[in-house]
Amino acid sequence: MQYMKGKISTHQAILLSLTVIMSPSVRFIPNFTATKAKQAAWVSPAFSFLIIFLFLYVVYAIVDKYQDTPFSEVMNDICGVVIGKILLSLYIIWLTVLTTFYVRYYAERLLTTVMPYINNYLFTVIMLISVAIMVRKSIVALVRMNELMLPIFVLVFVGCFVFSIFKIQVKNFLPVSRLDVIPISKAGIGIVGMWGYLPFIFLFSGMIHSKKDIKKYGLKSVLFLTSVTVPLIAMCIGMLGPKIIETMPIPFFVAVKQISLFDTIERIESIVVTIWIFSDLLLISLFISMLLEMFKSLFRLSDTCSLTGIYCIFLFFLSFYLARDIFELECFSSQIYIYVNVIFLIILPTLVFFVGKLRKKV
Amino acid sequence: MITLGIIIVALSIFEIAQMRKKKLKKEIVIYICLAIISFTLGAFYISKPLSKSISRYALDLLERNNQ
Repeated sequence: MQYMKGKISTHQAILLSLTVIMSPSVRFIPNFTATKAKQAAWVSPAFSFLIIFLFLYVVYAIVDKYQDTPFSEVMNDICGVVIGKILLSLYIIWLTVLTTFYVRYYAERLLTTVMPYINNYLFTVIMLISVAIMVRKSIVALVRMNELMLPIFVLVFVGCFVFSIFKIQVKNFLPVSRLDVIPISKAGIGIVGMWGYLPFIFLFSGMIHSKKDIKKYGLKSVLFLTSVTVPLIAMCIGMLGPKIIETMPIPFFVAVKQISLFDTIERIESIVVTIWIFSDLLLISLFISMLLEMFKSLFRLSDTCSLTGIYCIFLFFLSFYLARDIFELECFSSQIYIYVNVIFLIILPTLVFFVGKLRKKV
Repeated sequence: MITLGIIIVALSIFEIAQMRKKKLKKEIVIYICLAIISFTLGAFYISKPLSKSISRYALDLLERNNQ
């Protein structure tokens, strides 16, 4: 494998995206899809697959023409400098709120699952200090570590699914009929808002070299996401039922808690929490490094490493302004932010692509 | 609030000194802007920790539009 200083390969970027998507998906997808599509929720990844599959062609076309250039520069070239800068500013605002959102969710999730009597300031401070160190020293090392960790995570997930098979009740995710098509598509939009991070990381990250290789891995990674998401939803719905899941903040955690194999293998939720923390660490580090790259492009800066510390302080306070408790966070996530995600992850890049087509730049 | 001020000033002195060594003038301006915004945000939060959140404002706006 080809290694370049401060850069990661397409293969590593794909693995990174999969780990990054893991934490928000486990929290959000079972709950959202069960609310929208009830017992048919497990079919909704098929709809999302279709959307992302089509969107990958937009990414292929952009990467074909612009190679490793970050999307912030591509927008300037296609839409002109003024509109490009406006779009980039919107992306910076959106990504800042998104990162803050994940910082806050990380702390709230630890509070609600394993450590309910600890002040969430502590979790947030520890996470942001780790992220600041990571981003300053280059997150490439963490990305390479992820190459080793992801297979273990997948193994844990497969283990959770296999151990839970005995408790899954098929009647919980049947029947599925043609009447479920619209609810499935509504649920699928939520999944698109999560999976969209994969092409987004490709388009915006400046640390990936030979982006053209996405043609090799793009479809495979979306197929992998589909094959993991279907059992994830099926496991939660099958064990708990769609009505109970709708009211739960983290159904996957509750489902894993119920796993008991011959009364010997129990309490594997602690491994799941460890995976979440690693995934959150990667996600927040990656988003902050991408934000700093966007700043670099917007203000034509030469080095943004020094901004990491102060930006983390800013995110710390913003995370407490974002929501007062986990209920507000959940409402904000499922009613507003997931749709905003779809706009920024899928719709805006597609619009830029079509403008590029009209202007014969792509 | 004093602790926050001390942390931000200490961090700023350290970072700005490094940026000056590298002659990064634009970065220093952006850094100072970010430091001021962070301090203001932090000061507001410390003085009114239970004020209405951004999510609440957004959800209220959504409810009003749906009515």
